[in-house]
Amino acid sequence: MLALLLGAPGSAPARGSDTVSARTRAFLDAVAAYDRDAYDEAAAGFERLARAGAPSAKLYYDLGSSYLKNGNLGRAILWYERARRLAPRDPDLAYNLAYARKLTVDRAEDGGLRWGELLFFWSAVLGDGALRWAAVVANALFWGALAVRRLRPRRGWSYAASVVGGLTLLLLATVGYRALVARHDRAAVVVTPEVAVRAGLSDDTTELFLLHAGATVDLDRIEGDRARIRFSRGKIGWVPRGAVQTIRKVEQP
Amino acid sequence: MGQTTPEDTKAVFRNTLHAGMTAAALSLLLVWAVPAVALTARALVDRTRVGPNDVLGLTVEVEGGDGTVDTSGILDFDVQGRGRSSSVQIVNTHMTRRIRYQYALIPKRTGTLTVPPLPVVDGQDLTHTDPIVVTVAAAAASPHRVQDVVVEADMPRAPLYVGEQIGYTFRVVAAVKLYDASYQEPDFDGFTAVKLGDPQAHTEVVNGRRVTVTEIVYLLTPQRSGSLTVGPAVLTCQVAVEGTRSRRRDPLGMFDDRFFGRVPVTEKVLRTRPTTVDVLALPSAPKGPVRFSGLVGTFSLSASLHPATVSAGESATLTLSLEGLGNVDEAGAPPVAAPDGFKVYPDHPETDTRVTPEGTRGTKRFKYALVPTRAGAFELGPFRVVTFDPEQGAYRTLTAGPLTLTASPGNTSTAAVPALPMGVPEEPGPVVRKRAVETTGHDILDLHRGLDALTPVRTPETAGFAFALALPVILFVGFRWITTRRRQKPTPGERMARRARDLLAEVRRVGLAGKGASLLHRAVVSAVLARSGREGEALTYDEVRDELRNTGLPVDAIGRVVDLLSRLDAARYGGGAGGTDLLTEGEQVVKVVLGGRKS
Repeated sequence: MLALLLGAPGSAPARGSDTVSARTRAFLDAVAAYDRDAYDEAAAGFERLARAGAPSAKLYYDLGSSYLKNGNLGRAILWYERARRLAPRDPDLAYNLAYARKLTVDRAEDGGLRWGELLFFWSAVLGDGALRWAAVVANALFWGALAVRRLRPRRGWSYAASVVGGLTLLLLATVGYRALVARHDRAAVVVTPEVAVRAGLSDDTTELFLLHAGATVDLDRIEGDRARIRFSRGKIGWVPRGAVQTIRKVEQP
Repeated sequence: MGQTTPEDTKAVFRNTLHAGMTAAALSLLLVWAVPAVALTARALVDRTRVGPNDVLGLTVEVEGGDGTVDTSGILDFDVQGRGRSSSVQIVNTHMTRRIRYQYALIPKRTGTLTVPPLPVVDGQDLTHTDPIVVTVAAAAASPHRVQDVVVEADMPRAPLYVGEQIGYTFRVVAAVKLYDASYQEPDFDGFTAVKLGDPQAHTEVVNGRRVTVTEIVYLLTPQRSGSLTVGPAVLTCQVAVEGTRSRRRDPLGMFDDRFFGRVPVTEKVLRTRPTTVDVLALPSAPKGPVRFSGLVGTFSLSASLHPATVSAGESATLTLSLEGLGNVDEAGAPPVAAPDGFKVYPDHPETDTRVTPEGTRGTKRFKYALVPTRAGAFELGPFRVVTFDPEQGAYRTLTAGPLTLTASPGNTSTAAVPALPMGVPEEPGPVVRKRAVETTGHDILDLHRGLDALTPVRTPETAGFAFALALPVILFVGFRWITTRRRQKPTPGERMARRARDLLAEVRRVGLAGKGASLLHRAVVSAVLARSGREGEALTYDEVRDELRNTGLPVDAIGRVVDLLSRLDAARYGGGAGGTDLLTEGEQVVKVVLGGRKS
């Protein structure tokens, strides 16, 4: 019952063997397309699966790899970043993402000190799911230790309860921090080969600087078909909405 | 003198509070009264015509906000930040705050260079400075001649072999005094670099001018083959500007020292040219019983035995000496083959080397204590070492020996002990030079091909997560309540109430005949005592009335209780059993008296 309550929404329930096998067939077709170097076909297949189903780090990784092989650096990094938020410790993903970032043109600029990342420097080690599960287990252990201590009031159980309690607080604070970050996560990736960042909402306004595929920006706000982005502290401007895509939100078809 | 009264203290406190509030209000008023100034910025340079080794000073002044200057767009210069300062100016009640950011710009080339418009951001505000055009002349445009300070890098250009040691010399030739000199080492990517001691300086006369030559020497060893580049070494210093000394003010020249702040200086950044050398891989090592030792250079091998004649059971010392120029300090013990019947005790090798610009020069000695376990004449060696001679571009096999050791009959009591394997080198096997693993290809890793890629990541939803966190708390609270209840001792009232109920149950079981009336009587009395919260056995009618009155039981109910007790006494002492109505009446009375109290 606990597992059901903790299960993620949007997980497509099995509606029948036809649906499951259709997804499996689609996945295997995409893999086969990748193997015969039809990377655009593989990317299209993986993307249909990604947008239609629940989040999967491995599927996003495959999609990113297909785009990268197909020469679409921006979308490759976009999907790698989406996978990284689900599986921050995947070594293959880390390698491929680092590889892709080396191909980007624009040098990343320092966005300044982020206190949250400094205080919760360990938060990137675990994914959201693992972090929450760890908090649930630690919390249960804490109250269990308190219950045992009540039956057998010994110093060892008090110490154990204190340690586990501290760990629980730490995990809960980290979960809270991650939720806060996710809520305000406006990171986006430039998906077009090149985009001119302008001072205003039309192409007549002054071009301030250029960004290229794979550059990571913050999406400030959207007005009509334009989006205001921030690349670094000194580089802000407007781009066509379609030139950037947010990492956190996967648009459904 | 009068004493401070409480009224005085209150007055002081009141006045302090008033003064503080007034100051805060004035500050706020001042802030609000100052009209908001739009963000503006301008860029200034100290000159627009410089030499290739001159440093250009750039100042960006920002008004109307803190502003952050983005210098990443400056491509024609290397940019070094030199700090910031701020000032406040009040003119006709208008307060202006100005921030100055200072930078040092080092030109990357000669010609016409541009400092582009620099964006300055303050929150939502954005402004740009005007562009600045600077001319960098090929000849020095500064009043100071370039030849007064020259930097050079000296390194052999001939092709090298991997492992071949060479010297690299950074040299500064200065005809004038240098101040605040700082040196940045070049990038020795692909080499191991050993700095040879402290910088060495000497004076020379060049073209009639006395110059100071300062040298820093490194010993480099290429670690991989290919075209390797040693990056530029950079010297940053300040040089006195010639012709600015005022002799009339200081005829003795005693105070013309920067210490006294009287000598104007100009900053210089000098770089050497990068040096590229071709490094050849060593050819395939020769096949044979002796493997390549890893030594690159010119070496010789010698062997000695002392004494050459011993008695069996006595030791002689075998010394193998490797001498030459190259990585002799990395040499491992040469392999040694000895006949059976020897005990061998290797000693720690001795190294006598010094590092020179040509390479490591010296000798490394390997000593062994040899103990023959039987008499006879034994041949030791020959001893061989395979090295690579970069001058000839070929491998050489160095040979020493053989040597003859004669053992006369003597104390061989230990001869039964088998000899250790001879020639135990410092390291097992020949020394093989390790080299860095080179990357030979670039690609991403393969797909995740398993069907688990279709399995979604399960993340606990917020409601379920909160429930999972709350559940142990709820269980613990319930557990705590249960254990607390169990630990509590019943009160006297609770004990009496339980006794009343137990007695009632007994009466129901045995009936009113016999002792049933007594039991019922005791049950009613127990109920009265339970209501009062005390323990006891018997009560008079008056005590019953008092107890029930004090605990708030209505008068009619009190009468009912006393009446029942009276009837029960009659049944007890009168010999009658009483009717079932007595039992029914007794149950009702007990229930009324207990009033819902739980035992």
